[in-house]
Amino acid sequence: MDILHNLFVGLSVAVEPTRLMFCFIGVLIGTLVGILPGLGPSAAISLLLPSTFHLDPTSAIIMLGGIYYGAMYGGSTTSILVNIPGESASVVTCLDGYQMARQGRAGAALGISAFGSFIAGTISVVGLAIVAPPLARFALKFGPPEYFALIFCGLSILIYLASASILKAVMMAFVGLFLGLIGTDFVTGYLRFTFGSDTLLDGVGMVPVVMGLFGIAEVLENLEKGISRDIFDTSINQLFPNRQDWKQSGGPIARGTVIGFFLGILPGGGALISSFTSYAIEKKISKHPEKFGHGAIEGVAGPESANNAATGGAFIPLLTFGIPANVVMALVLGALLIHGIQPGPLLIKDHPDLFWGVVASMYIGNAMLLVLNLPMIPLWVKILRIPYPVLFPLIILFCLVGVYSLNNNYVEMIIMIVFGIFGYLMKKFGYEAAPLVFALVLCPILENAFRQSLMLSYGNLTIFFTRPISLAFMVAGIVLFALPVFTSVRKKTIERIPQEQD
Amino acid sequence: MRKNDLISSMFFLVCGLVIMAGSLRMPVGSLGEPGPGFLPLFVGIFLALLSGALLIRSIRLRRCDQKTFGLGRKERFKVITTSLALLLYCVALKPLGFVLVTLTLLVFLFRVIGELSWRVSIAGPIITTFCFYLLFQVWLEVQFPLGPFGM
Repeated sequence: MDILHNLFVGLSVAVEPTRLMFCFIGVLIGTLVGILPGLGPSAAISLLLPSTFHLDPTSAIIMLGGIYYGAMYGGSTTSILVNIPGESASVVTCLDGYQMARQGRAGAALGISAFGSFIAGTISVVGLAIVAPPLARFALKFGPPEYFALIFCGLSILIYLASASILKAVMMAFVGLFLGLIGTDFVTGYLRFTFGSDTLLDGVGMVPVVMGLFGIAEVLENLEKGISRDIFDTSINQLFPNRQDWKQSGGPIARGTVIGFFLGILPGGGALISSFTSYAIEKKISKHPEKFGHGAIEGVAGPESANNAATGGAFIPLLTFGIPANVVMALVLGALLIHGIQPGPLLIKDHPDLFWGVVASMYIGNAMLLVLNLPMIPLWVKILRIPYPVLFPLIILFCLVGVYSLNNNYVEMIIMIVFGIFGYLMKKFGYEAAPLVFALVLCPILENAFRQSLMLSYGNLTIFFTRPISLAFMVAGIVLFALPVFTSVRKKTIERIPQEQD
Repeated sequence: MRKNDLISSMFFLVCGLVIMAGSLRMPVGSLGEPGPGFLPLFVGIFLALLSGALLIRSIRLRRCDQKTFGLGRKERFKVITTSLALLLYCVALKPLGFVLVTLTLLVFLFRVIGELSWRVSIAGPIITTFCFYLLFQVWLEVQFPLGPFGM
């Protein structure tokens, strides 16, 4: 009953007209960036981060959350109609969704992905409401060694899942840690690697780095590759899946929801991995695996449900431990910190209206998305036709003006551009940005936990292995590092996952 | 991939060594009482070690192809000039003001990089700059630098 009462409180927060408006703006922008290739949710959220500073924290998180799960909806539209994933979690939807469109069943594919997303999104929000409060109480038992071990474990999951090379992913994590160390040392006030710059006193800043790595770098890469978009000319009718479709999709949606939710909780897991796992499982247990890749509706329903369920799961580690599960959640963490709210075990207790308001807004947002997506598909198709030469100057200008508006500081603009060029080169040389951003954001928490643990134990490193919770995380992390050395499992999974492109 | 890895690992090796040198100039402290230089030193050492491992691996993998990433001349031109234009934008923003610099940048991006017609490349930037000005300067009250024409 407690949950029901809290949800009711949350609903009363979320249905305030301004909150409803920000929820709507969020899901609308999310759908838009999900549809537009070359602009993912990470870039969109970092673009809009500065504009949320003027809002109250609850509205800000409601809007950013809306962008995140909205992008998951929108991404499927381009996958199905154009065979280009709007964002990385929809890569797998291309396989069967586009084939369905070619067979004249685009409407059914779009419909089932919208309904599947709605069902999965809603159930994962219920999961979030049930799991988060007890988990937060558990997190209260955590001391500095546990936090250090948890972050270590999260980083190793992220590195383990790196699609290119583990070695390079670890290197990127260390580069991220270094960037996080720049600025004033919070214990002694010592200036580290500031090179006499006033801007660097507060550190490199997550927003310029992320905007550079995900906004500018993406544009530079697309300028080089060129984005071609041949929109499949098909009349989209019959958006409501028929009875046969429902019969085939029921199981995949249910399994996708469960898979997505739990993989979403894992730091470093998230939407991409969930959609691939769901696809692999559906293909494995199907009676007609040969139909997969040739327009099997199960191959659309499962993954699309999974990537939406993952968004609900992804909020759990952030709102209970203060540890983001992926880059998007890291940005939400940044937004919370800017508003003076420390995400962690006490968040639900100290800011119940924020937590339950955000949860309730996600129900509302999911319903909005269903309404937004189905009737408006013809409009989205028109937007898809905006040529890239018109689009990319706008993305660039948004990045420049967005970063400038943070602190009216030219140096941060230059930092962003430098990281844009750096990010572009990283992609060329086969390095991934995700471990870097993750390490950069978590560095202050990690360093704090590490130094406090060592002081607690008078310099004895075994403190991380003598406390049970910390031991469990450390062992899990070390196993993940050691695993690829002994088995070829990782290599095989990676071969199934095409290069992530977010 | 070999040459790519060779170049990038040498770059990060140098980074690691520079970080190590920089952190040794700070109070490192001890295990029991880590100072501000403690974690940077640790990070620098690991970055250098890992880059070293990548360097050795790329030297040993002789069979792989030798070429660096291939870019056509036109594409390379686009990427490099866009990067330079953006840096120039940051430098020119203060002395010349938001409106003038933004218009120039957009015309350049539309016309030279995007290869759109002159008509679009002039109308597009004017509309975009106007909208951005309204959105950020008027509505969100961001203080953009004013140029010599007070805009």
